[in-house]
Amino acid sequence: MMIEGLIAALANIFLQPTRFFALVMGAVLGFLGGATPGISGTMMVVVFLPITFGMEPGTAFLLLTSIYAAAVFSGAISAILFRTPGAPEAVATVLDGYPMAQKGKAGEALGLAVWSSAAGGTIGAIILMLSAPMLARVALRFSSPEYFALAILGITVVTSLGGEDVLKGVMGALFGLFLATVGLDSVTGVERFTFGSPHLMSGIDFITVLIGMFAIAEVLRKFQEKNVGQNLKTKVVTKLPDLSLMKRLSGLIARSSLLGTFIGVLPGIGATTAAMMGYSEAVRWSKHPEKFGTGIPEGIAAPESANNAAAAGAMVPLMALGIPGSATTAVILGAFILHGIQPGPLMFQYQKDLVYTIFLGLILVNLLIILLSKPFITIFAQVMRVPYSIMGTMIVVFCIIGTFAVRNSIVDVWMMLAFGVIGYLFDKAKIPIAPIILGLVLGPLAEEEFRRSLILSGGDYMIFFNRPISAVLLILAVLSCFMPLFSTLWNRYKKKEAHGTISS
Amino acid sequence: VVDLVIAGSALVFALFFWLLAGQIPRGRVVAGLGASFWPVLLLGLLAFCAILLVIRTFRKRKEVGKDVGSAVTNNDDSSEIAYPHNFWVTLVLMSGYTYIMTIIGFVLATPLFIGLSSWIMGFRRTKFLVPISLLLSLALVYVFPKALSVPLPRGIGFFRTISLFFY
Repeated sequence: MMIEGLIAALANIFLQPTRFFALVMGAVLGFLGGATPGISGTMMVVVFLPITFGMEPGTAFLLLTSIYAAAVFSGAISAILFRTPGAPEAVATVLDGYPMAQKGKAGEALGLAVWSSAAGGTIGAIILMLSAPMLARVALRFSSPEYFALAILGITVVTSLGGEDVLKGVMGALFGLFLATVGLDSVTGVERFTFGSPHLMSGIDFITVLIGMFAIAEVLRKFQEKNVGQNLKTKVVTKLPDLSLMKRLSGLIARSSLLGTFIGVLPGIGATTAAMMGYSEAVRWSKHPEKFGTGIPEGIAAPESANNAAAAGAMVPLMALGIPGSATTAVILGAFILHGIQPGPLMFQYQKDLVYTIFLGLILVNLLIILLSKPFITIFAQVMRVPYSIMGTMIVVFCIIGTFAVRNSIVDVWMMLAFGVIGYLFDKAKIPIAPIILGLVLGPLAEEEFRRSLILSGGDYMIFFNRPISAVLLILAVLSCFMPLFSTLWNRYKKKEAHGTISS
Repeated sequence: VVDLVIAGSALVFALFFWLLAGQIPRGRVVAGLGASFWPVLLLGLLAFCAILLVIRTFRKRKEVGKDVGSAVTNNDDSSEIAYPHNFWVTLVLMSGYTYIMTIIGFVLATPLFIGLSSWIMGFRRTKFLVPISLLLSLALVYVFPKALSVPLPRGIGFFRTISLFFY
């Protein structure tokens, strides 16, 4: 059945020029977003999300997932050429990529990044294709209590997304959940916190918050910095690794990709951690760990295959269960909702075409990474000369167009600007933005399923614990909440033990 | 201090909306829960977290007080900021663009905004500025209102007539 689905998806992509164009366009935009420091892949998805509103879902999701996957790879370009990771996922690539470029092997370093990213991304996408339908079949047995528990589990991801400060992450998620309550109550039909404004009756559009808090806040911050265009003096020609090097790295790439996919599936950990872990595991397994950091191929192949695999892995919980595993997948979840699609088990039954189109898109984008990266890198060296004064201005224009396009409302644009200021202030106060978006996106699901469950049980709260799946999910949510506390206690215990050993 | 401001703001926010939640009509009460149950629960949790933040801040202060040597404020962000006034300038530019767009329309407001913003933010190659602003605006008009049928504001009166020439 999967093969049939994939063949149909293949025909859908190649026989419909708009879909194919969306895939290619997404890859180019993703390259640009990921490679340009100051514009992340998430921001690129956010900016282009409203524009997909007028597209049919297949085209829209090919564009968005293609941007998402390509951006993870292209962060490596500026990491290698300019020692500035274009995206956080490429932090580990700097360690060996830049020294390799310094040795005059920038082309080889870029070729390695292209090859390992494409290999990692393909392995991740294949695992996604095999595991997501299985997980979705289990999820078919879910009812309201399980969905509520799932939403709560999704929201507790903030303990990881919240960065160092879990408490502020939780506060951010509660703020997002609260924002989701504005508008007409879906159960009783009464108005909540609308201040009598007809505009707020349908709630606060999540795109307004998303664009404001991610993109506008970033522009407000970047415009205060000293920004100059990067200038590359030498011409770079990307060279893919030769067969012997590919063979030498194949085991490492396979191992890092599996590790990356697994980390990607875990909620809230993401591709950046996957890249760092891929790198450190490569050091651990290496016979010459001392050579890492001096510009060796292994130091590029490991993080690049891990982060691209993790990006595909993060799509597993999103597609099978409808809970996002990272900030960008939270945005993609929002895109599904915008198109009137609820990702999760039912999507595998009623939107098979779309599911297989996304799967295939995630595989094909890796082919595009190999094919398009070479010309892109040549052009990119020129694009990097464009100063942020123009780039930032254009981002503002895109944000305003994107927000206006959703409901043709200038009030939404004003709200987006206000959320931009709020996002900027939150950033200053070190309150993470991703939990707010997660709360806003998962809020309606959590509230509706919570109330629906209590209607089913006649007001008995034990319904959440009497059902095994719901109970397990809630226990997992509680455990994930206390995970940072456990790890702090564990670290303290280890420190004490080490201190005891030294003093004795 | 920042954490105390956050906690204080969160408490005021929670209290304000808690009071507003009291005014929400009860409507149809289902399984013992009215329309205000969920938001009140969230606001309660937010207030609880804010109180935890206050406690944590005071505990940290005490710890820092004990160890005077470590009482160094971590202000690593400020070193990156070269033009702090640009925050307000950007805000005025964006607000101005949004307001003007409703009057003179997207077609005329966009090149003005691109040119002005790029110039103020440091792009001083004047001979390139005008063609860049015009070309980028034309490309945007072609892609969004024309190709993607995004109905961007056309402005009012005479300006609307001008916009109608384009889309």
